[in-house]
Amino acid sequence: MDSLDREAQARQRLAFALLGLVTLGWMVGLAFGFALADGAGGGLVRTSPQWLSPTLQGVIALAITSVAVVLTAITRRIRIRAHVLSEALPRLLTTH
Amino acid sequence: MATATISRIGRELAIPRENEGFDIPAMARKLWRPMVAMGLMTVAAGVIVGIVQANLNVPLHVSQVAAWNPGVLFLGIGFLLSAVTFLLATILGELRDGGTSVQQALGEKALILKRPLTGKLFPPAMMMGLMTLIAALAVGFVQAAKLDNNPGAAADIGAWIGPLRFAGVALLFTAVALALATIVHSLRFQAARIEQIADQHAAA
Repeated sequence: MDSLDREAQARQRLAFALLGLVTLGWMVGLAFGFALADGAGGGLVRTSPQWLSPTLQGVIALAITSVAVVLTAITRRIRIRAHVLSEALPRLLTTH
Repeated sequence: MATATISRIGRELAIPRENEGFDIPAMARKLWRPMVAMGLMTVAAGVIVGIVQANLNVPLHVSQVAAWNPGVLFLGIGFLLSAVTFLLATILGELRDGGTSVQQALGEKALILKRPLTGKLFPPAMMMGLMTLIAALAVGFVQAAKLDNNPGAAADIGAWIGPLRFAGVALLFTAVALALATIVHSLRFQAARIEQIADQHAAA
């Protein structure tokens, strides 16, 4: 049970780290969009229409991955819950 | 499966554990990891192609890459959403197995939720979504080839290929929603089953 609990916690932390990256990603993407609208002259900004959209889709991919990671944590929590209920419910029924 | 083995528990239909047919969660447990890996690799490939596209000098080549690269990115997103659907099927399997172990610990016959309509529909919805995105990628390559010698036909394809990609993603989100609805059925069944067992013990 302890190892399952540790696994679930580690996956929750990983999901939060991924969400941090996602937040950073869309903020940078938005900044590039505003820079492009302001007519900023750098080569990176000028070519951004070609690579910014694919990169932001990469950010969406990271967000979906964080959903997947949280779901693996939920899987472990359900396993823990089933184990606890299997132990506790028979005792409750015999004592009441 | 004989109809006599189906019983009603609360608002849900239940069948004995041993009467379950094809084990979808067992398959989903094996497939979600390859789907995540393929999804991340496909999206990474699409991002790299986008960077290469930004450095191309021939306008025709830029247009050709613009025709097929969105298909690559959408397919990557599709693989990831398929992985999410598989993980939801895994959660359904955990709920089923956990419920079985709790019932057996209580000395009761292990009953499981009879697969509701949502549970029957989410695997085909996921497969249809993924197949739509694979077809859209193939059509994207056809469009890119036509840009060279038949720009009119390429423009015609360009008009409907975008909505087709979104239709594929919409089907995948439908699969996710149907799988979540099946989890709701499963949780409702478990609550009703625990209540039924408690009533039986109280009456005994």
